[in-house]
Amino acid sequence: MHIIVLIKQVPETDKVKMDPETGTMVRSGLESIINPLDLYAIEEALMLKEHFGAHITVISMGPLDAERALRESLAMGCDKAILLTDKAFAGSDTWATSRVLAETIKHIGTFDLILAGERATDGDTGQVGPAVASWLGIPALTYVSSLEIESRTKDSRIAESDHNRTSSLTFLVRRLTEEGYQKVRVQSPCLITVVKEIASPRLPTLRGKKFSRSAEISHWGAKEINLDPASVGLAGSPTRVVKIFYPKVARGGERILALDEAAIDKAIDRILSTIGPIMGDGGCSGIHKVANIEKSETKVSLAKSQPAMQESMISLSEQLSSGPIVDDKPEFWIITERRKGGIDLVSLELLARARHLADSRGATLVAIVLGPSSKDEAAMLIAHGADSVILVESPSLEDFICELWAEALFELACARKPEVILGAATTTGRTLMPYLAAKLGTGLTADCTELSIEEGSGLLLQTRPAIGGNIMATIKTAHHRPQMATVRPHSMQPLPPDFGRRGSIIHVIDDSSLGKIISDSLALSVQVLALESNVKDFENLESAQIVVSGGRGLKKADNFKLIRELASSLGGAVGASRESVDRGWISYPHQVGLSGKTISPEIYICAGISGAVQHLAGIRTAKKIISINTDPDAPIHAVADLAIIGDLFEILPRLTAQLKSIYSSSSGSESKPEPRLDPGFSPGSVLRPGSVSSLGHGSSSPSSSLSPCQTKDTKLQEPDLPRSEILSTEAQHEI
Amino acid sequence: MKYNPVSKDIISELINIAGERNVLLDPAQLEIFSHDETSKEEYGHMPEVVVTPRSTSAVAEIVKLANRTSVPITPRGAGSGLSGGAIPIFGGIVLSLEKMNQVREIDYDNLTMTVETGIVTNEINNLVKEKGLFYAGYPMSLETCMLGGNIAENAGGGKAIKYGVTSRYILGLEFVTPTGEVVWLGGKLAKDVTGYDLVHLIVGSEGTLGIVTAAIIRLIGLPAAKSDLLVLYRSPQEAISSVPVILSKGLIPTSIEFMDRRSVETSCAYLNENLPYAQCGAMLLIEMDGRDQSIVESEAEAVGDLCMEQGAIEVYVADNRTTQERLWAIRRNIAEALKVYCPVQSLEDIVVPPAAISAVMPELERISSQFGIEIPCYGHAGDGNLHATLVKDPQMPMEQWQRIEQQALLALYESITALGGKISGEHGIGLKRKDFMKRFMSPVELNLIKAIKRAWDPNLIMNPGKIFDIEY
Ligand SMILES: Cc1cc2nc3c(=O)[nH]c(=O)nc-3n(C[C@H](O)[C@H](O)[C@H](O)COP(=O)(O)OP(=O)(O)OC[C@H]3O[C@@H](n4cnc5c(N)ncnc54)[C@H](O)[C@@H]3O)c2cc1C
Ligand SMILES: Cc1cc2nc3c(=O)[nH]c(=O)nc-3n(C[C@H](O)[C@H](O)[C@H](O)COP(=O)(O)OP(=O)(O)OC[C@H]3O[C@@H](n4cnc5c(N)ncnc54)[C@H](O)[C@@H]3O)c2cc1C
Repeated sequence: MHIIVLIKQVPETDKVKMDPETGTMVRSGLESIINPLDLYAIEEALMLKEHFGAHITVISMGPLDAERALRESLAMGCDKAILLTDKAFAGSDTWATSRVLAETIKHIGTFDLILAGERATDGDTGQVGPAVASWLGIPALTYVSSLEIESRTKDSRIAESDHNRTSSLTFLVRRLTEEGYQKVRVQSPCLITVVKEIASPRLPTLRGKKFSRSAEISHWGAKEINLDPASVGLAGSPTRVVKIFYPKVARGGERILALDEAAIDKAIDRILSTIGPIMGDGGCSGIHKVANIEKSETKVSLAKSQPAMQESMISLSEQLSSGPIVDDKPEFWIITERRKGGIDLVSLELLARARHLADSRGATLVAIVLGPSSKDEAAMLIAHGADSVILVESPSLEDFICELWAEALFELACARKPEVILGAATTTGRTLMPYLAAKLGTGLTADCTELSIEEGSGLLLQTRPAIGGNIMATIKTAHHRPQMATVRPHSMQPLPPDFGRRGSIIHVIDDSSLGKIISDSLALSVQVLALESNVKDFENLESAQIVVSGGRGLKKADNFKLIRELASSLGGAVGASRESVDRGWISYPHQVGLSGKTISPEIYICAGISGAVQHLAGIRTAKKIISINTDPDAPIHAVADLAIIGDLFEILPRLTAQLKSIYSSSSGSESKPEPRLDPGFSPGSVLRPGSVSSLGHGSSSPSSSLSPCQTKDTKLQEPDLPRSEILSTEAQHEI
Repeated sequence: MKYNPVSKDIISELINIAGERNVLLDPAQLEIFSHDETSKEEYGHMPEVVVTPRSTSAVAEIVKLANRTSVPITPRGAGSGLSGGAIPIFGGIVLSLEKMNQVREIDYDNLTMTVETGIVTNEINNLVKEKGLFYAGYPMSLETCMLGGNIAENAGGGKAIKYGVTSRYILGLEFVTPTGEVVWLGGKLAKDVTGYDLVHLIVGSEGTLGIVTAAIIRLIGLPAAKSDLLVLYRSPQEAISSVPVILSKGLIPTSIEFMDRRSVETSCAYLNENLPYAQCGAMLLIEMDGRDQSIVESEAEAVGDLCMEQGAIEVYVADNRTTQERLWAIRRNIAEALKVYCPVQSLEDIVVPPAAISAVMPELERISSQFGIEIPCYGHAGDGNLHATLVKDPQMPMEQWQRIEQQALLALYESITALGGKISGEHGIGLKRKDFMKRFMSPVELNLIKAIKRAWDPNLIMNPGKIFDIEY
């Protein structure tokens, strides 16, 4: 078996310190290391080698110094290393990076498997892996947490260390998605990006070290892989960083020293009053109120509330021949995501963003829905801001299979030439969008927290955090179309639904062209087997409104029950710091931060977490942060809105007890407390865990409800980041 | 000993001297100053007041006040001490130096830094790193401990084989005597025999002779390159016997840290570290440093080869900070991990001549089986300084433990004394070991020490009750 591992050398983010006065990153003394997630990719390759026999080639694109990273991978046990280094490569964005990597791989010849990290800790786009797969026309499986070779045993070694690809191998992988573990069967060759759960990396041995010191590492430049230097590097990159600035991270919140009884009581009161508005009006007693409101809410039937819709049917091939069908207004697209039969909340948030942008550009806002869907869903999208909805209803698009979705969207985009495509920065969006962007030959900006239209040029200004949220970069795609971006979930509220809106629905039907996609899919090597959502200790942190996290201060695994109990009394999810996950106290899906999840809950409560930069990277866009830590100097206190300096072992049990007593003293209902829903969307068709009773999905069942329940604060909420200060405006790109 | 309580008048004088914000009276705040890293239950004691002065003259005024009114005064750094040195055992005033953390001068020509003693030691290195400089008196409590505490304890740490302990880097001191006089001792001098070497009398005096408010410290070139080896052995003996072999080849590691099986297991379990430690009986963590990475790496390789020749099972190599951090985490978390699993314990700090270290191992085994308690052991093997830790089995009744602990400690100290060793190498005597010190120190030496104390601190107000008991 021939395995290729892609590794990137990054500055060690552990040590990133911010200068509190200037807000800039202190670069001195930063060492370069192998991107931590890439170590897991290397380890997985080494385990496959141990069990089945394999030849492992490691590739890195970077400066000469990246040779160190490659040597380390050799010391760990990899066989061959190639350094892609050339002045012409400097300043590459992910499009150009993936192109160079893909060309190199073509140049090397055959392979069975490409392994990459899910994302690099500096650029943090997670786009390179899927884009490389796109260039090579092979399946991309991202966020993979385990990998097995089907029907092979330890003894049947595969094609000992020769470079020739084995006929075809079948891998069974589990992908860690928001909803659970997706089990997928995939044929080689394919590309897999891994998360930390997959393996724990070994240390280089003395023997390995000696081998690596004497090993020859090939250096290749543009010439060696037959690429025109003008088509790579900064020159060949569709995206351009136009501004870098430093967000102010300190929130300067309230600090409470809670070391004695009275002070602890006061601290608990302050926590309750901070949580109150989320749990419902009037402090914590509002918990029940929420439940009651939801129960008494009047359901308006679809017929009454449905926006006026004009429907049309077209085929994809028609589209292709006739070109754009609407007027000459530019089209802005959003890619809709669905979860178990409903439109995902992130898509409505995306609509709110895109509506804003489309209005300032005078564009038509189109929501694309892939896979079988219902008119209700289309109505829902229109009510939330779409001008038209394109339904591509092929059953083969039901499950998210990156290559199929990308193919369908590619055809559609070639036909309609949208000016902008936005996707949510979910596990789906972050896989699909880079795959599609590489196909379309355009740039993509990852995980944006701010988007706007530049005056004059009408270009999309895409602003995103990078380097663990320590810097913000504004990026433009000036000369390539469409302009593409993924948007961080929960960085904006959906618009209140307007049932008076008019919109059109376009059904793209199965004709020959789409038929071709489907028949390809039969030959296609990816099969979604199952979604395991009831896995023990799985947590959907991304969509929780309240997250309670624990860290090293808990001292041992058992004590995590304090966190779990508090979370359950709040109807929230359980998070964790890297240290507590590393120590095996809790599973990886709970991990918040740079090598775990980036979340934007309404309330983030963390106890016994010091707040290392990587952890902070995951919670920068949390609306309110409450920290509980005995160390008054813990960095977490500086970014908290409410910093409690005190002992979690005293505070948490009391807080939980108080919440429980408030909760059980009234109503006596058996339902769990629920954080209040974002107003104005239907719990039936929009799924956000922690939302009220999910109403069954059935296409035009009258029970599908669009909730009219609107409350006062249905205003657009700006994401949290505009607090940032512009301190420097140098444009910068780096490999 | 009779001390006066801290009266209202004294408090208002303290406020006059230091300012209201620097005088703490709230019991919740005082609590933090009632203990250090030793067991709070066993040794803790509340101060009556805590002052956090910002200047040397304020420190001097406060000491004068304490001396005049016969109120005990205890200097305090970060409170990371492991012998109870900063605990105000007679109440009174705790003088915390936390707000005296200014750098007064960095002298790049003489390679010295003049700095107040409330600076966190780690911070010193952050400040000079950019200039390629380094302060080598550097204990392992690196995130918290302060220069003043290091000076008072003459702290050692993980790098002492090559760099020596704190005293080597202390050239001069700004010092407040127990009667409240301020004096500069020493200077930016490479040599100085002008009178007694008071600087190095104060270093290691555990805050009993006065308060160090600032120090001139020596900086050296930063050894930017580093390479670490984690060496797995079948037995502690094999591990320990590699040490002289390495040193005799002229290879000078920065650290040779020893960890026995129990220490490694506990720390690895605590960290969820999956290194194959199950089949190993002990480990050495060896660090080489220098200016040139490739030279350092090849020296490390040579050390690794020697270890393999001595029968090591496996040698892991860490050449970057991430992997180095991973290795050091195992060593650094032993104390914390042992505390989690066996909260009742006695963390010891024995030191023997380096060559006697292999003789310590069988002694520990003997004491362990004689008293039926476990004694995990780790520490600075290259310096002969080991943190043998007597741990209480959670099942054992407390009274039984207390009895056994004293007997076992006595047995331990007797055996290391016989090997030419002493009861503390770097953590100090403080409260914790003063009864034992009396037994193991010659009366002549003890009397000399007490005579010095009386001469310097006639009213015995400066950190009383530490190292020795003394009467007027
Ligand atoms: C502040 C800032 C913001 C940026 N934002 C964007 C953006 O939004 N869109 C964009 O296109 N570019 C962006 N870039 C450029 C981007 O960081 C670089 O293209 C970078 O080379 C690759 O992206 P990444 O670090 O995000 O890698 P990721 O896509 O996060 O890396 C995923 C995996 O791909 C593999 N990999 C990545 N890079 C290499 C490599 N050089 N050699 C071998 N394997 C590799 C590794 O396995 C890695 O774990 C930005 C750069 C900066 C400085
Ligand atoms: C995890 C851990 C690891 C450790 N590792 C090491 C190690 O490797 N090597 C080592 O030697 N020690 C080690 N220690 C022990 C401890 O950190 C050291 O003794 C350190 O020097 C104490 O510094 P501190 O600022 O915390 O002093 P404190 O504990 O506050 O005080 C210690 C003593 O110094 C006196 N003092 C403090 N400041 C002054 C001053 N300005 N003037 C006069 N007297 C003063 C106090 O009165 C007290 O007697 C470790 C401790 C921990 C918790």
